[in-house]
Amino acid sequence: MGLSWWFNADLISATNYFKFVPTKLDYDLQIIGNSDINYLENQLEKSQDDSAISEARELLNLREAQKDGILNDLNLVFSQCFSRRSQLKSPKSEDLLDDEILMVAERIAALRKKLL
Amino acid sequence: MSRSNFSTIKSFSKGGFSTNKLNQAITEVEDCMRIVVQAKDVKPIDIGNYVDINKKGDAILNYGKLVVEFADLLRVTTINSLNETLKLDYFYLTDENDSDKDSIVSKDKMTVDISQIIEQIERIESWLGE
Repeated sequence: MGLSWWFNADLISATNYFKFVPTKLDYDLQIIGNSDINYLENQLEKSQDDSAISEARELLNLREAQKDGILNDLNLVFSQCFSRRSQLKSPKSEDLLDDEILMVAERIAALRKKLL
Repeated sequence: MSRSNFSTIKSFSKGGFSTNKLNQAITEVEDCMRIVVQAKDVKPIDIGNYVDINKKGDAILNYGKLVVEFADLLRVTTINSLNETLKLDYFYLTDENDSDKDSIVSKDKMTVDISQIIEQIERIESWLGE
């Protein structure tokens, strides 16, 4: 089980959950394949009640690791663009994204707290 | 040429640039534009279909799909918006009159259709009784 599961849900904000740019790169991310995810999703769909909740938690860990991989790739682009540049600076996610998207990010982060 | 609301250029105005600094800024913007073009060519992760929510496991299953789909949307939207910002900065630095300039989003940030993602959020919220 990944560390993210033990992360205090009350401390999660959209900014850190979705790794708004610019942020530090994570060089220790694991690559997540779809086979484990597909297996856990099948287990969950077969279960008739909430007895498979531990599988649900493990599935969410894997999905969040996928999310972190996508956003780490995004931050890598910004790092390549703006590290060691004398004339350029990195814009922030808040500069680049529409307000509606920023609000949805907040909503998803808040939903996690309620769901768990 | 006027500048967009935000920029990747450190200096407020190119008026204070020496020729060397101006050329350096143009080179750096061109480098970034190449990096961004390569980054745009990435396929999203296939998350499969969302399921009907009848129990907590279903809600968590859908939430997992939702965060991956939204992360992909964030990646694409942020890259596209950065691409447009770099183009505007390039035009500003070079005084280039590009025919595509009018199609570039300058004041309004990039907008995308997120109605499907909002629908999934609302389905989970509804199951939670909100």
